[in-house]
Amino acid sequence: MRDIPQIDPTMPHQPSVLQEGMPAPGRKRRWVRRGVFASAGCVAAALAGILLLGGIAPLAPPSSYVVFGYNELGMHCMNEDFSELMILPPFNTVRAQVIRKGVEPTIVTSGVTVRYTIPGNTHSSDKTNFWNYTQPLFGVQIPPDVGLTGNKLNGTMVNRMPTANDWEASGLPVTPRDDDGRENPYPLALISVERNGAVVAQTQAVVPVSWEISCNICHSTPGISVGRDILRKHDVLHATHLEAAMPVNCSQCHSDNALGAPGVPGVKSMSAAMHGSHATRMAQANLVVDCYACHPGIRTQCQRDIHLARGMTCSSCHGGMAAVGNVARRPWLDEPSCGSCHQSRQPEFDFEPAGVLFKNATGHGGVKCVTCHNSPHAITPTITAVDNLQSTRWQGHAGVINTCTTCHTTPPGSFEHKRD
Amino acid sequence: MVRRTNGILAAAACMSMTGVASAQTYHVVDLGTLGALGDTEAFGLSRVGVTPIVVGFATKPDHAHRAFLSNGAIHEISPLAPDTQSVAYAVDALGRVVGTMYQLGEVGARAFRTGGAVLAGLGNFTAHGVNDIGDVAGFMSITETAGLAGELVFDHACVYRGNPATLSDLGTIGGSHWSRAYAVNNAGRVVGCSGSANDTGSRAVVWIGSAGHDLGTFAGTPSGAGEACAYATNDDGIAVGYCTGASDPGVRYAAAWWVNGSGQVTSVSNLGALPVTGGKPTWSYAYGINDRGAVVGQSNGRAFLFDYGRMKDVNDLIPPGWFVVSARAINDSDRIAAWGVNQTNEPHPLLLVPCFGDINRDGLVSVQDIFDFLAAYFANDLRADMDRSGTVSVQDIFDYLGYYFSGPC
Repeated sequence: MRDIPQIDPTMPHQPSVLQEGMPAPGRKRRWVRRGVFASAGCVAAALAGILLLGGIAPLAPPSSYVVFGYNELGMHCMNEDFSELMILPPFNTVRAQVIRKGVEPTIVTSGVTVRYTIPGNTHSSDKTNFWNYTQPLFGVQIPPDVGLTGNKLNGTMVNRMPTANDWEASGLPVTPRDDDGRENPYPLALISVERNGAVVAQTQAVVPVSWEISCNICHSTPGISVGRDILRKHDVLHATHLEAAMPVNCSQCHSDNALGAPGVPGVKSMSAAMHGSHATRMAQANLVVDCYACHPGIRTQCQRDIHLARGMTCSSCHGGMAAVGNVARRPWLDEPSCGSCHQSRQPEFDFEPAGVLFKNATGHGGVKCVTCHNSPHAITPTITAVDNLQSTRWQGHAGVINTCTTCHTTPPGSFEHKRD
Repeated sequence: MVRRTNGILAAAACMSMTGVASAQTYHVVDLGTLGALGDTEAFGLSRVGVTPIVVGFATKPDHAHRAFLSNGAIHEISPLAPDTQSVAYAVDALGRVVGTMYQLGEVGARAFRTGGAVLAGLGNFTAHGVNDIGDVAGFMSITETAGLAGELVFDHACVYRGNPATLSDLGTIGGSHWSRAYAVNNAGRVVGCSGSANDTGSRAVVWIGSAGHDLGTFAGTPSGAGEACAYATNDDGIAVGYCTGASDPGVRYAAAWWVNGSGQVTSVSNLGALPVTGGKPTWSYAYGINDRGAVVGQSNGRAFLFDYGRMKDVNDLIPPGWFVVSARAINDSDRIAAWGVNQTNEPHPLLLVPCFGDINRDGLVSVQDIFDFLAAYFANDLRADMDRSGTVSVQDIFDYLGYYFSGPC
């Protein structure tokens, strides 16, 4: 039984946006100034939190800290086989925000150690042939079970200050195969926060990954593999010699912001090339959702969030394939914003600032949007039980973190969905 | 006896002049698909039988993963509930298949066992291994509410015993949160792994009764640094899996632990890895072992067979046409459950059937095999038990001659 740290009553009162170990001048009064605006939703949530704390459902024992973990993208796609071509390697980025509870909570970016591990998915080298081909694909031999950024399937996160007020482990080489051989596109990472050698907070967050890709729906010439079929057609259409050069890293020619690959001048980006060339060909695939011909979906369901539950599909936010493949669009950077739909419905709310993606945006005193709402494509409540575990753990029910006492030791008078 | 012995030696002298050389030791049986191209793997097979039952999972046209059984032809094992994924892991002495049904994104899973045409649920756990008396090893989801864990979900190794039906949580070791069991032998010994002390890695574990024992790593036992997990065990108590070494702590190698009745490791061996070229990484995992001590697994992306003290690339032991990626189980008839890809890179589950003429599994049916057979015969070594009767007898000589002269595989 670990000792549970108690709140130090001698600690000075600190504003909510103050990060431990870093001064934040000019913000001390902001929380108090906004406190007069009451949100019925938050009051109700606070009452619900009090009721819950009264014993209807067990919550985490008292601790001074809470931690929220999330995957950067909500789903990471990767190749299963790397012997012929590579679109994406195993590269999963997990982040966490650590909050010290209080009357006015503080976001913690130093003085703690944040560890991660993925029980039940502890090795990848026997699940994919990626490490056999890192030399021809990337020009460097990477040790087995080590990702492109040097991280493994367990380790320590680094804080991202001053870029962001959270912690990150990038490029985890996790695969959608559990150690027992069964498919699992939603492995659970255990994230532990330690201070002075003692664990002060833990959570579980999904590290989603899938290699479900259905190129074979169309690329299925008898007698040759799917990968070879793709490369052969590329050679015919574009006068290349890719089939003779396997394995091929597509981003060596097609720029890819996901990989930081500049590509070759004059050649379309990977996204523009793929989406653009296939946009007019999807009828032959005969799919309900065209995106799932390539993106994990028919089985895995990349999109598994509240939007799906409400009847929305990929194109509801992203537009059709032609829109996604527009050469003027910056792939991975020009993405849908929550405010584009929700601002008109909740005019009193702030949403992401222009030019800031949902996954990077903050509000409510520096809290990341994803901390309360979860990852893109897995906005809670999700249709998958594992993605709801974190919110249920902290507040007793799935969905957006709307129980204020998750972080506040006493219910605040109001809640504002505002940018800082 | 003397006359018979002289006769055997005479036969050996004769055969030495008519040696048959062949490049392969196994022939490949393609188990097929469930109608679609996609992920597939063969995980287990029955202990004996000319045509053993092989089980695993394959992809259906609707993209679902479904458990299959192959007894000469591949069949889907229908799940108890529709729209679920399933995988079959093992077969017991009665031919009953154990496996797991699950839905992507759910917490936990449901174990099943077949009994003839009937599929019965065993409970809310993942069933992974079974012994001849029907004990099932696996893991179940538990919710920790104590301490700071509070409502975190973890796997705990468990064992299901059938008479009366009980499901026992085997717990973890070293204060870790999670554990998994992968196999159980006929003495009821369970093997698997548990998280390390701060859950940053894993430790190989053998459970004897309800007590879990850390098997240690190449760096020492029981508290040697590094990571490990045990995936299989035979009835001699040898456990196999992987662990990391002291000199190269980040790399996993196939391991074999000899464990006594008290759970103490008396010896641990690094089974090595297949050779690589061009500076590629090297690693290996052992997944299966039979009662003779032959071990199968995967090394550097290729299936291996560890037998007679050497690790061999299975792809060197089969005819052209398939690339075998991973071997998951080997039974007492030396048949191997595996998966590989054909010449158009399509994955299929495979059954590898040995050519018994190549008794030393060096890829050749040659004069050396004759001498190795004779050596095993006179040593009363069960490697000479060609008819799998459990004893070495004169009949085995005639059976071996039949295999030898049947030519290459």
